Amino acid sequence: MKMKTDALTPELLSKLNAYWRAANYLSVGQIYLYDNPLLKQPLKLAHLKPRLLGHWGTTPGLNFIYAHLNRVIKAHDLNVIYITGPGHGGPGLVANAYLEGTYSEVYPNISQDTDGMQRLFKQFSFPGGIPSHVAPETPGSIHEGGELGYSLSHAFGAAFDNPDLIVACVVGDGEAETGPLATGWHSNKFLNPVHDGAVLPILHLNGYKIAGPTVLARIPHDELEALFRGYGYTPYFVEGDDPDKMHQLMAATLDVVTADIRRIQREARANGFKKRPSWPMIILRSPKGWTGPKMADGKKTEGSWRSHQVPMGDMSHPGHVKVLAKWLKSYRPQELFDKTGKLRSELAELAPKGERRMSANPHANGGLLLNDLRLPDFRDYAVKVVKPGGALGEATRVQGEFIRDVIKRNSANFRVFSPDETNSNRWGAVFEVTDRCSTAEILPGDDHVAPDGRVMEVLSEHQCEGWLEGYLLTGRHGFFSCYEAFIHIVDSMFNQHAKWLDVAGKIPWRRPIASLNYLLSSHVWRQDHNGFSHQDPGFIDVVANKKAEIVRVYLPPDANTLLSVTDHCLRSRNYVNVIVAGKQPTPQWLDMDAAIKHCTAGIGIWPWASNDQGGEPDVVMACCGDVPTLETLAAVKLLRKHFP
Amino acid sequence: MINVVDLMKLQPQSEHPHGLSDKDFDTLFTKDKPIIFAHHGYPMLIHRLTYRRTNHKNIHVRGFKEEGTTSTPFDMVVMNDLDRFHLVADVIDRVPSLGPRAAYAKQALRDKLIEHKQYIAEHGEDMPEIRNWKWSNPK
Repeated sequence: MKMKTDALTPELLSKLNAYWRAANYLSVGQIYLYDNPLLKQPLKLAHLKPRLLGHWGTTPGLNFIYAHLNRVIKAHDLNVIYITGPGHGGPGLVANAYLEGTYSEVYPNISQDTDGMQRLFKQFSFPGGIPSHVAPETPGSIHEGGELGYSLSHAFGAAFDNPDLIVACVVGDGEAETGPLATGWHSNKFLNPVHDGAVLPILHLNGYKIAGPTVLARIPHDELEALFRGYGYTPYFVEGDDPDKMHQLMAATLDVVTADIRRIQREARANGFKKRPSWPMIILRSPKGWTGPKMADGKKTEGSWRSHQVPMGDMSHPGHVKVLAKWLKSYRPQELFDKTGKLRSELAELAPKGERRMSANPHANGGLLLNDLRLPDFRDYAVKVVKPGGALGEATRVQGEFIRDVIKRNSANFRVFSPDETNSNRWGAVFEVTDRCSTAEILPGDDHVAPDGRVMEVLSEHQCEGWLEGYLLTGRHGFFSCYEAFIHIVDSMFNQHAKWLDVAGKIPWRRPIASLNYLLSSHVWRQDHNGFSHQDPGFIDVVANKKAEIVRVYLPPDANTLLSVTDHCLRSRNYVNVIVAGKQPTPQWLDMDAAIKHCTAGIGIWPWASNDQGGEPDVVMACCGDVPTLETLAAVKLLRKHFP
Repeated sequence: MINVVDLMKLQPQSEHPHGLSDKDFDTLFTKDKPIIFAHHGYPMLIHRLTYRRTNHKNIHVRGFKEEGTTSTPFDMVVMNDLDRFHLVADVIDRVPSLGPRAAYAKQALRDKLIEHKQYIAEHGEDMPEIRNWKWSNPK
């Protein structure tokens, strides 16, 4: 498709470029400057930070995309959040939040004047300041940029059940080499334009990682295009290094993809879901470290891996300060900021207003939008237990009936995620009220598969975890049901989410979100048929490493305790709740009344299995988990037989 | 007999908001009696969570010790010494006051475990007394 070359008037082109220069200036300032933020004095070594940290390479591209998204948000009144796959480009996202005013609203000390700018620069990657990556501290972010690979999964999770939202997701070409990201592209087979929002993937090829080239930047154009057509997207290429040409091309492309998204949604919403649409995506190829120094120490820097972090790290080296001064001045800061250090009003006008600013969009502070679940009374699902051991039950099957009714009562803000284990973990009851979600081909023999299903099954634990995190971070609720042994696949994603919750919980403007709930079933003790590969109870060891304020681990021994724990977890906020429970028919120990009391205490004596009333025991038998509980009770019975 | 639903109860109150106070922990677990702890996961987790408790030295944890294969449900716990017979043997080893009956009981437990292995090797499923086991309170 031939793109227009005059999407922007000369005046708008010039302003948009100036806005981009401002974001780039503030990004470089954050990486290098301790003082002298607007270069009112000649730049000296003393104005620089003693340790230079951060990542320049990806940042100008992120700023370029951001400025252009601002334009289409304003032009078409779009509701957009921005996910930064290359999250190490933290300075860029902070710079944009500052330019839009959001940053000063949530951190008044970082004001829109020269002093505020100095503090903005100093705090970046500085003790007592902010991280170098996009982090919970960054307004507008739901995606920490440290560990790469999850941007697309987070983006789609955010888009589910958010019909008006467009999630712009920048995917770095380094990140694109990871497994989770590779499977993330397939999320388009689960997105339903009738009731979900849109994800606009922007694959940013700047060609290099820390020290080497990236895979997707080194395959022929036709292979690259075929790859994304094969994933089911319509790719639009924006490639080059001449800023003016790139601005025109990006603007024209964003107009086209915005129209594509609206057309897809309009048709689906008017006529119902007919077939999976080919969603647009953008492949942006721009130089790494774009607009940075062309050369440093006689070596190519712009357009090279040498731009990845801090070009010219050693500033005491003769000439480096001069190169930096020239680089900073190339953005012509005096044209961008007024005498007080504030962004000039004709440029500030380019940013969207209020909650349309990507840095102030409430979807990126999901707790603001969080509603309580409408929960049925869990006691109504109780297994009748007249005496301990007097009934048989399958704990997770009973829990599944409760979950079924949670789905029924919360048809737009609760979903279940599982790597194809919903049935196997005995949650089959949910299929009485919903289906497995798929917008791909559905064949007549398929069992409960539909484009509006609320059970998100894909055989990638990474994808399930990423979708659920994105869904929770934008203010909804969910449950992840998984085989116990294979939840280890997302150990590291859990780690990152727990860190996010920990940090976000200490940021006053971030509101609490719903907890991340895991059901781990098909556990170690009943994987006797599948064998050693399926036997691993170690996820809770990983979980126990995290901050106590964040993690909860429950091992309910039977169905009624499982119901009570599940109800509690669904009401909780800002935790990671891990529930380990069996799915096999086993004796039931506690009636509902006793179960509630036992779960509220969390630990307790079972008097009916004890015989030390009124005296010191000879031995304490303790247990946690359904199978150990059964074995312990059997041991107690044996002890009574042998030692009456 | 103590059952734990909320694992974080085991941690000291200072380390986790759910943690039991030392006083409550001592009341439940005693200050000096042997504790046989049958745990769902790896035994070390229980030690990690309780290492500061008064009676930690007497906590003997059974759990998954990486003994696994395709077998029967009961054999899974047997392989990891988490089954009822091993748990009773653990008690016998730690409670000297059980007296002369202990030797006979231990032999009976050992015989049961041998019987179990022979039975599953032949039949491919657990012994009926295991499959059909039921709790009953003494009359």
